[in-house]
Amino acid sequence: MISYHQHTLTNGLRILVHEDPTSPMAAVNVLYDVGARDEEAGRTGFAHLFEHLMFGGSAGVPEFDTVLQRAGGNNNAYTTNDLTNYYDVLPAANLETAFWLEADRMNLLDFSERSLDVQRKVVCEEFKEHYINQPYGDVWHKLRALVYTVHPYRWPTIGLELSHVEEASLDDVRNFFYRFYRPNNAILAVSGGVKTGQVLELAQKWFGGIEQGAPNRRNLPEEPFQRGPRQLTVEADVPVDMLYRAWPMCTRTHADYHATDLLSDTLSAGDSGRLHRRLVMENELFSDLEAYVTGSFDQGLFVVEGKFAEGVDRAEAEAALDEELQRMRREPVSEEEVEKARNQSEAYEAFGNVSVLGKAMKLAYYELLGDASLVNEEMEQYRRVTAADIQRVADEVLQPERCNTLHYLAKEPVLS
Amino acid sequence: MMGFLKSPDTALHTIEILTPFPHPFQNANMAQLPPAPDMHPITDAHFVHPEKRVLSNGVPLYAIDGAADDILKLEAVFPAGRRYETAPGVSAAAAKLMTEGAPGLNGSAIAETVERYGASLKVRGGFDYTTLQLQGLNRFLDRLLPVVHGIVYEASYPEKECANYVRNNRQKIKIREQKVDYLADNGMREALYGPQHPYGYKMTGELFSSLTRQSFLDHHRRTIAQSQPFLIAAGRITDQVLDFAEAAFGRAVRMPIAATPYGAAQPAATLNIHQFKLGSVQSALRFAKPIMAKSHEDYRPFFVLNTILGGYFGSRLMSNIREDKGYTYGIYSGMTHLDDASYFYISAEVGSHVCQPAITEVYAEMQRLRDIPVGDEELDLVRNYLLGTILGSIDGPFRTADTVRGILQGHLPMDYVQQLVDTIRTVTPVQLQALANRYLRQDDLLELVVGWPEEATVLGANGVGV
Repeated sequence: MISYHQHTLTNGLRILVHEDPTSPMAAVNVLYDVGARDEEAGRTGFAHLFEHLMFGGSAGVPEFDTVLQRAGGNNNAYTTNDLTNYYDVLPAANLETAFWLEADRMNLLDFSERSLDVQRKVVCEEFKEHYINQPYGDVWHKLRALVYTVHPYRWPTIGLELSHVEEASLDDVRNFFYRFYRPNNAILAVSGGVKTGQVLELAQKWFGGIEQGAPNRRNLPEEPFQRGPRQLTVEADVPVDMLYRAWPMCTRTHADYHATDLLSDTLSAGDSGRLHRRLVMENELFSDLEAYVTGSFDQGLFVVEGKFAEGVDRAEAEAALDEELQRMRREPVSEEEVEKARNQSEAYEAFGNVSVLGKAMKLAYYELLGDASLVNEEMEQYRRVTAADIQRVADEVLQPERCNTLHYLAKEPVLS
Repeated sequence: MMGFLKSPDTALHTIEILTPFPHPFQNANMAQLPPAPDMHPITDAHFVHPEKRVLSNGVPLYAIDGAADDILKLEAVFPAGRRYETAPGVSAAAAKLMTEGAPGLNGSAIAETVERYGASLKVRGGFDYTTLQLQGLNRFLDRLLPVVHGIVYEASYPEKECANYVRNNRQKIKIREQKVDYLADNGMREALYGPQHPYGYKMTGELFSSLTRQSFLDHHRRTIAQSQPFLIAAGRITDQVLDFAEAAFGRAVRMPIAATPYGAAQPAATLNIHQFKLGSVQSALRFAKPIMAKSHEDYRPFFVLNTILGGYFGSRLMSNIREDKGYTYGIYSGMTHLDDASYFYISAEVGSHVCQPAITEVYAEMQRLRDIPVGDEELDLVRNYLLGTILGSIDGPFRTADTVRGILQGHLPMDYVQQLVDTIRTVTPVQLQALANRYLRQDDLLELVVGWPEEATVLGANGVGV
């Protein structure tokens, strides 16, 4: 349970405060409602590049990190397909420093050619480190393009290709800032050794004067209903054959989301999930096998990924996997499995509510999802899921005719 | 004007004036923000020492109470890592496979019980220690006792699961061996300690194939089943927790254990190791050398020096090589402290085309620390940054538990946090410069590159293939 206070400034900035008097620290989390899904198809990777530029200085603060570090704090940020999130953790005594820093860059970022030039290079190195110079590094580029045909989820946050990042211009940066980085498109969540009154005063003082922008309404193309399975085989210089299966699933706010999430947990949470126990440990067909949901705000994915065990017949392994998946559609899961999934969710929730940063992040995330109060309601939504619900969503999601299969194979045959 | 904001490096900025956009500082949308707030220097970090208890058999338990929910994270840290094994790879495998069987419980039943009660149970083998970590809800602890007791005293290492482990790890290592960072990290330790040393050997497919079930059983019975661990419990500490610890770890006789004898470290003959890996768009750079133990008087001031060089985002290496030159996504320096050795390292993945300039800049930053005393402004910033970090490292029971584990593994006194705070507040530029001259020298530093572009050989890089 996270207790919080909620307030909205006249410029539209939404504020959430959680007091944790036991902590000497404060977490300041600023979430902007913009992600890779808001990019144009020819300029992908821009939301993430922009995230880097947010550290390149602003009107009153030449160096964001220097000031924060001097206040005893540290920070980071991340971009997903749905959102961009910035956070600072610092001694509570210096809370106002984080307000100054975050307000200054929301007010006016320093659009500098030099910062853009350096961060283009840094992001290109990040691209190489994680997506090129790694075995299977481009698998999500391939998988997204297979499953999504029109929705911008068809590219990953790093971008479709290096050239998109390399070609980003200062005009792009400015346009993006004034369109998305306005108070009415942001959520500020503060938690830790702070007082609600103090936080609201600081919010008004630092953010109150920042002008709101035009409302940012999304009009993203809806992914058409998939009819018929799709398949892609990639051969590359990788040591082991891998399998990816992905099915379209509901949005994050859909009533079936929790049952679908528990379906993936039944199949593969921890070491006792069905896929690991039966197909990795008992039948030894895969060396690694897991199922998970992407939790995307728009139509998401239910994914099963695995590495084929050395020397197995791939068709035989896939048939065994299909049988496990199809059994989820035919038979209800046991009461023990449902209880397990519920207890796991409860523990996950309790452990996630320990750090001041975790709590601030959760509040902002749920507010973006629709309402911060969801932060305390989600547990109950998991508790209400029944074995029949899991079977129903399994039947709907795991249809062979809506399955997208990616084989990522070693160029040279793998020796057993 | 834009150029006024940062150093007047304005050749590029003038281009902006030609753009049709309003100049940002004349933008009508811009609010006048208040002047910068006062900053409060962090002067202290109040570390509440854990409460030390002793189980009936003498095993120490350090309790850190203070969670809002009824949750527990319990760690049992055994001297049972690589230094205590009789053949390479045994300790890590014996740790990982501990949860695959106990009398009356197969791996499936163990996983099922643990997860059914919302818990997680993991055993991880390291260089010195094997750590069992149990995380869960206090109300189910009694249900978990038979499992934990079973694997600690009588892990059964079923034949099939052992074979499965070997096979899957042979496959995993093939994937890891494609990664320049993995090759570089392992190459670095091998170059520092030699391929026969517990800190230096690399796992290979062949080594995995040589592992036997009997070796796991022997290792487990000799170490985990009867050696003296220390326990750290964090969360809400109730009688339930103490009873659980006593029942699981406190009843059988437990003794100190000596490491398996092994020879002295055999560092590589050369300090320059360049390993080519074709097709690498990035190369992994590592620089390393043995360094003082944490208990040495130079350690705490060196910790501050390391922070300045590469220990935080604002470090010299990061500012120069990432934020100024854009050669890398990240470059860091740090120290690894083990029971029998410690080393200092610098680590980065850089674009292969800028490998040599990146190396040159690393040496230049070390030389700058040797030649010029750190300025007051930078040192002040680092002092505040580190004190804030320490404050964060003792915020809440779980962060505190990690700090306590570091203190115990480093054989340090509990007032170590206070000692570190004192050093951070008082260390001087003169001291730091002296330390840089003693420890940050180019002539005794291992330089290791994995990747490296073909054109580098044409350019006459001093690398030799290994």
